[in-house]
Amino acid sequence: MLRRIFGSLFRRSQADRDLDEELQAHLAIDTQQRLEDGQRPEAARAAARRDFGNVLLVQEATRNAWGWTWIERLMQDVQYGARMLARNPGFTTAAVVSLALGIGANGALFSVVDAALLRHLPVQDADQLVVFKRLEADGRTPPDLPYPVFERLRNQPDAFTAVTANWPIERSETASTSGVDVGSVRVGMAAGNYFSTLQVPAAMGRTLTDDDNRSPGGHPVAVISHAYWQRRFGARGDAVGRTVHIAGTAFTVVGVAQRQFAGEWVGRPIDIWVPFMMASQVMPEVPGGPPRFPALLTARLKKGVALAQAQAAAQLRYQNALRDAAGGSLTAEQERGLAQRRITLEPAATGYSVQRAALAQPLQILALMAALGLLAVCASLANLLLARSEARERELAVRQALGAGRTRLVRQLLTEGALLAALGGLLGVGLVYWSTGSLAAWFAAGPLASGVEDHSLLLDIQVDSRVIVCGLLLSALVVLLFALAPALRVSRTSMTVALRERGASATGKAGRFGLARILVIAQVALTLVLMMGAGLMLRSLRNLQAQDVGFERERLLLVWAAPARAGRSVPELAGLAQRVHERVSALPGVTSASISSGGVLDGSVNGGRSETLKFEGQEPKPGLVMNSLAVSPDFFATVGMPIIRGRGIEPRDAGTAPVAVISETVARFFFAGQDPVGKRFGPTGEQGYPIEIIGVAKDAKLGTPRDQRGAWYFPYQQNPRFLRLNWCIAVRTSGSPTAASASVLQALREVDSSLAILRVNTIEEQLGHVLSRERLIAQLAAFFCLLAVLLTCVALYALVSLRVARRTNEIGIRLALGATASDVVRMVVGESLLLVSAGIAVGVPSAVALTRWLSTWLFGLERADAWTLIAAPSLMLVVAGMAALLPALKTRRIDPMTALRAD
Amino acid sequence: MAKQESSNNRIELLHGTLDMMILRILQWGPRHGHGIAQTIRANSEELLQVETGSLYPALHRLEKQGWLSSEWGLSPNNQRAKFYRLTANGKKHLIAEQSRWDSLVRAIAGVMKPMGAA
Repeated sequence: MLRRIFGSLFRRSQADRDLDEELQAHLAIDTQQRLEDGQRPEAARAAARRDFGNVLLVQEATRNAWGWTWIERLMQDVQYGARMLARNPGFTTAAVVSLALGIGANGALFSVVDAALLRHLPVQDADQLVVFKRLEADGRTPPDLPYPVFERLRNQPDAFTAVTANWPIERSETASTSGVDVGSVRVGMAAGNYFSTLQVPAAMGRTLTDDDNRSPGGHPVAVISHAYWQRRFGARGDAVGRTVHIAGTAFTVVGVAQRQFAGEWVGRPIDIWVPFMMASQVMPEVPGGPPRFPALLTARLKKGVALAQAQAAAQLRYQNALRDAAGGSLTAEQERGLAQRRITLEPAATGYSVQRAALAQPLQILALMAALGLLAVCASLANLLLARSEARERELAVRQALGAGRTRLVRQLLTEGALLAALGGLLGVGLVYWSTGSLAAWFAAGPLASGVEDHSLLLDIQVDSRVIVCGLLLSALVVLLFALAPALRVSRTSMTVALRERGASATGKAGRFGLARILVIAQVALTLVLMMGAGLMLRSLRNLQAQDVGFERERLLLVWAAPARAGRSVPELAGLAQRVHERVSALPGVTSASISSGGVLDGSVNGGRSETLKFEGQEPKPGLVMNSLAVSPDFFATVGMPIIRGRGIEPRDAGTAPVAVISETVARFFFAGQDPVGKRFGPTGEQGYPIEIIGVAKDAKLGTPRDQRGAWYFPYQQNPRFLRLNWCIAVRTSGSPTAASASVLQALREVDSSLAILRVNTIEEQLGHVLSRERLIAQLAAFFCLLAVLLTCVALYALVSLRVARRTNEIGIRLALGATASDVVRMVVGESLLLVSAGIAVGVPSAVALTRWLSTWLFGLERADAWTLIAAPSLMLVVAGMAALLPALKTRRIDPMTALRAD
Repeated sequence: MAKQESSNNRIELLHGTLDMMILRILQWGPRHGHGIAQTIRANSEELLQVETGSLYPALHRLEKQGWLSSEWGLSPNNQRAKFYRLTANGKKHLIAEQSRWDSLVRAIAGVMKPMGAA
């Protein structure tokens, strides 16, 4: 049939010509006959034509019989629609752009939400997957279980078809066995049945099997992820068989995993999988091999087995496993403790993620803004289309008078609407694709933390067809609905009425403007809510940026390094720290340098609970979250953190008895009023109070500007295990920090070329990183707000213009009766402002509710922020007033005589 | 799109009957559109005057359905015109239509018989 259509279209002109000729032939033959009968030529021709009838109608009727007129009509409608749209570029642009923005914003946002929260893992039957987690007494559910426990939980045929384990770790990849650091990779140490349990096939080569997991250290093989294969090997076919070096050991690539699969930890995609038995090679700093490692257990539920059932079975096995691991015979107290240990199973269809909770609120805020934006767009579109339909009423009436059928008119208007929706939709979809790239980059750029927590989220944001279809349908609906309005109205009003009364009196057809007025009020309300939201976010952001960070911001360079990734042991790390410290401090242009585990403004939010420490003379006291830092001696001087009591940490503290410096908050919390210097404390589980407090430091923002945690600092030699966390090498320079960064990096390379440098930045840049989330949300809020304001102004402008045009007659009367031009202007603007005020009245309560909802996110603002509450409506009035003023000013040019004579 | 017949001498033609008549006429040999219209008028003693607005759509429709074929030729007056001819399928269709028409006529005649006649 399609071929027939296309063929027909080509033969169409030929067929038209044939038909024309055929009908003309009929006329000619008839004329000829009449001539033969004896009629005069003119009479013969006239009679023949009369007998024939309307040639055009006959042609049309015959063409109908051909059966493909509907395509022709469609093409005609499309062409006509395109012409009409082109003739009104202002309207068309406004409509298309608003549609595109609405669809684009929502599409992009939904893709992000999908990638972060909703999407199932790219494995078969993802619904069957569960992940094991320990259930702690305080409700936390850490996911790690000891590897030996996994080995005992492996075989549970009654509940699970398979149980597997893996553990991700960040490592340095080196160019060769003892070479330069090439980059960071995330290595997943996997059990033999990992790929078979998750049912992930290989895209090339093979995946790991149980044979690869027999003897510790005996299987230097690796399976790489698809993304890593593209990044590192340029997606070349010869990747299988190549070698990668991790922490000094060479691994042979035996396969590439299926596309899109990167482990079950969402946001932490694995690059390279190695057998668990190679754990000691991957992490040489941890002695003892696989039994000393934790593991993340994932299992596939057997069909028909309920989660609760499986959990009960697993719980029993878990306790047995713990008992075995402890050696078999336990004291009564140990038995009691064991009975408290619980595990819980969580569905893992969408994978496992620690960052999801932190993302929940920002995503909600974004979603709300996008939804409001879409509503504003819809209202605006509806308004535009309504205004346009008013203008076209006369044209439609004329066309009806000329013989156009109502169905034809409706179809034409629908086609025009569909064109609009298609254009806007296409542009919107393009926008979605374009923005997902930037969104993914934003999510990936989280600040670096001490290695314990990581706020970055590497999302694979894919543009989902569902979103696009949804957006297109919505826009098409709105457009078509309001494109139909004129057509339906045409059928209801009598043609003659429409033709005669080009402009009815303002009161006569007030009903028709009712809908437009309601839409404008709705738009104003939405815009107001967005305005207030944006205002609040911006102010909150400013507050965060201006916060006192507690140390010297100027001339401070931060170098973030991850020395543990190369697999150094703790003594090696201590030696490296010493060398780095000496070397960097000695550089010209450097006033002082220090090393700390974790740093200042590192974005961290978690910490230890205060009751894990006991202070001399007190009971352990819960209620404060505490951050602890291992530092080098001149930390406080380098960073510029004042010591307000006692002293800071000095080189002599390295070898002797344990000491610590606490922050103001900690001093206040535990010692309210007393002098803490000289007091002692220690970990709650151990005997005595080994650590002496030697000083109190001023509070500093070690995490984010919102940081309220307590902190205590100790020399790293005291507990060198802390050196395994990411380092912050702080450098105070005499000149500009950025100028010194090159020489600092060079010095570090010279000390040890395999040291992984993660990032180098100044305090301002670091602050920018840490506040990236707030910044983006504020920016987006501002964007949506501007969009909504623009749309509202355009809609208001269109509405007022139309009303002025309709009321020309009435205005003429007023002018004739003695009103001045300014009176008229004031009247028009006044009416518009009344409308806007109504919108504000509707919008303010919603905006206040929004503020309350946002209050946990905002910083430094009271619940009902007076400034924003006054500024937003005022701004709205001013802007709206200007939008209404422009068409109102046009009334000055109305000549009363012309106006009175107008229809 | 037949024009409303105003004269009492003209009877509105049904869609299907026009088709049948066209096929019947063409059974006697190929004709062009004008010729078909004339034949209908002549054989019905001026009672049936087919509008071109009904004739030509019908002709094209019948051709599309495969019951007629067309080709360009010359009329006796050397006027180039499109001639229609009955196809084999058309002939079959005509026979079917004709028998249906006969049954219809018989049925109506049976009803219209004067009352009392057995």
